[in-house]
Amino acid sequence: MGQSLSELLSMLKEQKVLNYRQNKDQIILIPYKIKSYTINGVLKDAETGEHIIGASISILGTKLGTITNGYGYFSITLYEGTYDINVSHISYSSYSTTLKLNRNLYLKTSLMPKITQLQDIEISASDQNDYVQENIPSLQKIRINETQGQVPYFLGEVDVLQNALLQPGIKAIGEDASGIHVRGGSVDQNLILFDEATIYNPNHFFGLISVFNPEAVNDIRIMKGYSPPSYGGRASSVIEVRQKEGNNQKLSYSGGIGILSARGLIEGPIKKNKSSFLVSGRQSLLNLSLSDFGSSSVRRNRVRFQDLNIKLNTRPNTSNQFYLSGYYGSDRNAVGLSSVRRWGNRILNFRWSHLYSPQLFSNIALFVSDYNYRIENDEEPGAFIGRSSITDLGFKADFSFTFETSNEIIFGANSIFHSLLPGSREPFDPDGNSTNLIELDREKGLASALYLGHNVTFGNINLNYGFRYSTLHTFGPREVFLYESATPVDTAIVDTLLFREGELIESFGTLEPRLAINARINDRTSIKASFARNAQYIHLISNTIAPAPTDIWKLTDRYIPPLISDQYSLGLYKNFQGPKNLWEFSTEVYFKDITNNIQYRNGADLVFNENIETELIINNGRAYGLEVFLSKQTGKLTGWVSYSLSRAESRVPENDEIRFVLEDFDKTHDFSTSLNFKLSDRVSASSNFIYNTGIPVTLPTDKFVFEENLVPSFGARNNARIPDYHRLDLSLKFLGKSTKKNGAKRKNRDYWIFTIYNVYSRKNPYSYFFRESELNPGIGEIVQYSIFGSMIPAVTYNFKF
Amino acid sequence: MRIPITLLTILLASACDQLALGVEDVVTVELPDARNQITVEGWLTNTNQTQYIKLTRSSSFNSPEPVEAIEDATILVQARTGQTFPYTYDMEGIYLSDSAFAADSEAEYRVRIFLSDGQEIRSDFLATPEEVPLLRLFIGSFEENDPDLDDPITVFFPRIVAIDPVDVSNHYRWRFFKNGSPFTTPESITILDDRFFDGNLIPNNFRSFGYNRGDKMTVEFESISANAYDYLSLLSSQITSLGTSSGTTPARIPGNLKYVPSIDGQEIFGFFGIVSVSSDTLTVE
Repeated sequence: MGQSLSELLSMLKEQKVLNYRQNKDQIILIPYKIKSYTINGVLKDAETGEHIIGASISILGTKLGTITNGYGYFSITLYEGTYDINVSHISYSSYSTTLKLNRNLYLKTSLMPKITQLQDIEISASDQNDYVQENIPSLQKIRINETQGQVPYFLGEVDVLQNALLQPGIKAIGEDASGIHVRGGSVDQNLILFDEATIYNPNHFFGLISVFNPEAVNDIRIMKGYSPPSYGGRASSVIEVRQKEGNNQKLSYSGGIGILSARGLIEGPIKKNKSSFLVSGRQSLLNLSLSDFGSSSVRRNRVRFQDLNIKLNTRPNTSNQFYLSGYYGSDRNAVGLSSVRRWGNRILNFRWSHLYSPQLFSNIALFVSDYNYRIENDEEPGAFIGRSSITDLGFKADFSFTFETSNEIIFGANSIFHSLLPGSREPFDPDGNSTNLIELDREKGLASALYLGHNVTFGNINLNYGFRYSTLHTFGPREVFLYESATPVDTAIVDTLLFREGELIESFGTLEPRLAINARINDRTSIKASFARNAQYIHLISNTIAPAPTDIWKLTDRYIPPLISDQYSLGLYKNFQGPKNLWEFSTEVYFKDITNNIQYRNGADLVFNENIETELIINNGRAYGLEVFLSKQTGKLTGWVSYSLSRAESRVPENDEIRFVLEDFDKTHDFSTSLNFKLSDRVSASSNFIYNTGIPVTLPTDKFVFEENLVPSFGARNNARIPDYHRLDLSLKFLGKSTKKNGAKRKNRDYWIFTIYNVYSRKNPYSYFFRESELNPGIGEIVQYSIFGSMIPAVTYNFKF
Repeated sequence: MRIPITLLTILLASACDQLALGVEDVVTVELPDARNQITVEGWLTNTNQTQYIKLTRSSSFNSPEPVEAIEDATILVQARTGQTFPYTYDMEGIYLSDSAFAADSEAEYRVRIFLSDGQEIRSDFLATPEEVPLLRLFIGSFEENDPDLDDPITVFFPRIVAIDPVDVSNHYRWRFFKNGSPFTTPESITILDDRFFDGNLIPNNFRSFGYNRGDKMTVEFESISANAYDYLSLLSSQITSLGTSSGTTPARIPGNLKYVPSIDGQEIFGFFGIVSVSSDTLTVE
């Protein structure tokens, strides 16, 4: 078409379609080999230097893109060329740039936050599709510094776990009950990670607040179903709480004081842009007396707690970053005059993030986690000190290799050496003569896993699949009892096996396949499906309605097989975006099959029991449900509505038959909404409303009299429910002025929060108990017990400078 | 801004006066149908006395009527040796042995109950636990503030010296009497397993059994079987800690009696046990 052959060949070469070589009178055509290059980097907050997790890196005009990982790292491999790249995150102003890609690029990008903790700035409509783009199904994210994460709760406290309870599929039994239940799982089926280490008891103050000081927390991710194969060890969920890293730009202070606690944080650069530190503390203020509580469980209790968080990090170059973080928590609960209980979590974590090449990223961590409790009873005779502890020494190495476009291989290994002291009981006075020393055999086990996963995108479909092979090896010294039958309940010991120090007792192994599919129907809609198998080798042994800090943990052994859960989920995720508003909608159904669930025989004695297996019944369970979540992220009114319809059951032997019985924490309907309305530049109002079906209760059929005591006799287990729970909380937030009278900007910012918990003074039933009427002896009466019977007002003051 | 903040603070502070925590309300709840089972209560002791067995029939938990006494049964306690001890109905479901007798430490006993409809209820033969002596009873005291009184009051309570036999699994029950009347509240069921003090002084913390000056304090120290301990332990938890966060799941309390021959869907509530008693009495001065 008017072009000479030479011109045509030059054009094709320029357009990188063909290359050519002339050999005398021959022209040899050579297909142009398009080269691939990788863009990688770590995305940071421009004000604090904190890594930004879950931000989108989009290649405009294509469907290509990636998301920053849990360490703020991203990597995407593209063909040579010029690309318009957009970096966005719901909390930050997005950033766009044009890159000419003819070599590997390390992208240094910082995003400016749209909001800060002390100032609600209206979030403009953005092109965010966070939940649609997210390839992990059933993932709930709470960003603690955003309005979503700052929901005031009981006594004005902001709390990450209480906030999580407003999300679908996450429940607690009641207000005086520690622990959370995720999709029908028991409280011990949640892997709670603080940075990399495990937290075994995340509760202070009867579970009303968590050990996670909101000053020190950056964000929380809850994986309710599928979790990548790098995670494992618990059957129901992964709750990953990440501490802030420390501001590497400037020294800053923040804190607050309320009725329950005072807290503070100092953070700043050790060397600007290179290294930083963070120290945060929290102290309960009241040494709280609950003498007015009618519950015998809390009567005459005095409670206090402390938290200390530290973190150091340094980035000597773009390829390496080192972190050292720690947490020290302490609780004390004085019961009556002579008994004191103390417990606490302690963790120390070292992490090294390393970039071997633009494609290969690693994160290697060493950590120590310790949870212990101590109970002192100093009344003689019989005064004693009881102890129990669990100590983990852990190692994990995670690698991520990105190749070609949208192809990522993850692989790695992790190992935790558990050392558990199930219980020791020693005389309070070593010279006393009424208490024997009882020290149950320490349990030692090495829980390890190897994993491999592949994250790949084909067109509109993203596939995450892989497997995890987990093992547990238990070691001596230890005595193992053999019983008359394989099920040791109500049978006699026939032999005892003795294992020497370090001798292998038993080994267990489980292959855990994982699969998640994210099919994006269009930019605003996706369908996600997943399957995940999780094996759990460590168990909380507790037969009380709500777990207590003094409950013990136990490793899998000959009589307690690994707990296995298989979970299937299917969900629809859709965003609705108008000119001013962005709504996120998601709905999921799930089914969970639980094998080797632990139940307890009637009257099980679990305290300092060296034959604890004789008290346990191993059975199977199941849980299934529907979850709906609608969130509004922008505009003056923000917040979310959450609903779940669910059922959790366990097979238990009852009346000479085995049948499915509702779990104690089952709630058929669970609805919650959290709304925030910006009244002016400095005043905002928020509300939480919660409604859920009452938990199951076992009602008595008969009464009989034994030694002048009226005794209830119970029918089928969990044969009814207590009345439904509902509660409204309101709060008002007043921001201090941002400028001085002369117009200069204030260095310090502050705000007040006024909250009213349980606004309409609902006496929400916590439980029933059954007693003989004092007025009419011989007649039984049913008593509804409520933790709160009135509104609970509170005020907190918070500051930052 | 200061005015609304101050105002809100004052309003909240005044609302704090109205706090209601740990609220109990008696409620009406529709209960499942009652099963109306026979209930047996009886302890045979090693002291030579008139022994008793109480026989009642359970009724709906929220029935406005007390449990029904069974008056027309025939009861006897039978030693493995063949010796029998008949009981005769007295009142309120209580049957008394026709003559005083004591459980022999070498013997085993069972109860047989013949109902008027021809059904028989029976226990297995039970051994008499070895008696452990109560070595000394003395009186402790502490001061307690009474909001209605200016001065603290002195509360007296029993203190005991007793030693658990070494290398033997023992189970105990304490029973307390004030001026001849037993403490009968649910919390007064006081049982011990010697796992934690085998061969040592037996712990006792009886501050909740308060006496006043001039009261007659009687303490019975009973050795009971492991089965009796399990029964009382479960029964105690079912009537004291249910409904609290530290409470366990409600459960049936399996006793040690059965129909002979067995009847589908029918069970016997209650327990028949043998105790070896060592006791002492003091007057609080």
